[in-house]
Amino acid sequence: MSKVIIICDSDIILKGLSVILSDCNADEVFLMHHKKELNDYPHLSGYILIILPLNIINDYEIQLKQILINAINIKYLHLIFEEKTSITSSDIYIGDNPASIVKKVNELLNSFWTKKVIEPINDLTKREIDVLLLVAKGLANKEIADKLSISIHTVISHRKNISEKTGIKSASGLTMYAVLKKLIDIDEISTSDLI
Amino acid sequence: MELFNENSKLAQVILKDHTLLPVINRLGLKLGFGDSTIQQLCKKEGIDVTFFVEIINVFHNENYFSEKKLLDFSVTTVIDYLLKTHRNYVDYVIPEQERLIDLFLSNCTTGCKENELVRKFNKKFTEEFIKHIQLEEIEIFPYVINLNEVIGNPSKKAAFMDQYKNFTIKGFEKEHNNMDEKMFDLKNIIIKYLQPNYDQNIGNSLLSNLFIFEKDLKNHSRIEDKILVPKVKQLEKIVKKDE
Ligand SMILES: [Fe+2]
Ligand SMILES: [Fe+2]
Repeated sequence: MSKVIIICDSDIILKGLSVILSDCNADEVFLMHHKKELNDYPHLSGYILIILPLNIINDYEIQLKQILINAINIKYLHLIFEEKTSITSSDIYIGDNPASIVKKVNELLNSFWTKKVIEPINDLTKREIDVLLLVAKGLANKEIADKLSISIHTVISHRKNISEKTGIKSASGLTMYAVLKKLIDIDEISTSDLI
Repeated sequence: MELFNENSKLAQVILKDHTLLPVINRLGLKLGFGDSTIQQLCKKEGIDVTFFVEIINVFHNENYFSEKKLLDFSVTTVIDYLLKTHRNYVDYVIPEQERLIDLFLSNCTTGCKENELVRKFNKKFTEEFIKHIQLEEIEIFPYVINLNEVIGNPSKKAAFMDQYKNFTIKGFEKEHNNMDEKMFDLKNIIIKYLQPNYDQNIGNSLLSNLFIFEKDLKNHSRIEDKILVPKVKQLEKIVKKDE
């Protein structure tokens, strides 16, 4: 559910970029001559990457956020028209070759996901993650207690906290959670009977 | 808390809470009931009206559970309802969920390997669930029906005691697990953790189905644990009192 919006008053750049980005990872690419056209798309939701010239007035980020109220996250890439030495990963120089532009866009689109993956994990303590991983691998509470040298009572209380924090109660549900959080490798699971 | 009674018009009940639709079907009623009250409809179809009212109230109000009242029903009425519910799960709810999951996965664009786990998870749930139902239908319910027959016909007692020498409902009570837990998990996985790279409308249908199924399973277990089991314990006491 990611979208790219290109805002630029030049048709040449708009059309050129839209051709280059036709095989990027975004689900849709929108072209606009001016940021006020965004007002026609207040329903745009999900993850949105906006590409626009650097010279657009300073506080545009706040304005755009106010228009795109349904966006989960918004990121930006700046169009640079003159070659300079300080081109960063958040810039696109219009002289760049198409492949590297697509790569830059895809990297930013992917970072929407990686960010999402990391944050809820922080809610689990280190010990809870240890327990989670063993549950996900199919161990019973008793086995987990032995393995971590803690009492079965402690294991049960960790499991209770894990379920409260994640919203997942069953062992196979926790296995799936661990896979989605990239705590265990999906290939380990696909062939097993854990889920 | 709103409670329905035998004088409630069934159409009004459904308009207030449409999630009761499968429940009234299992209890033996079909739509098209005009302005008839529950009392009138049950009489016409030969349905135990008190049982009907109690069951829809149990489903409508999460906190309502009049164990006293429900213990008055015959175990055959309760088991008949439980069996119909099982049939509804096997014939409709589970296949419908599989259909929605297929649809849900067919629109996947990226990260589909992860999304495929939804199918695997559901498949495992279904296998466990079928086993769960089979245990109840092949072992538990026949035991309860036989036990109940002994009450009405003491001459059957010897044969019964012979067949179920060491069997009590306690074993079932201990082992009986909550199948709604997995539906709760799947719901949360989709809402919180899965990448939303699927058609949102299909995702919403699947989620609605999960919400309803989870609630249904929860109430089904409540009826088994809170009505059937205590009821059977009562019967066991009577039959085995002089052993
Ligand atoms: Fe059941
Ligand atoms: Fe059950």
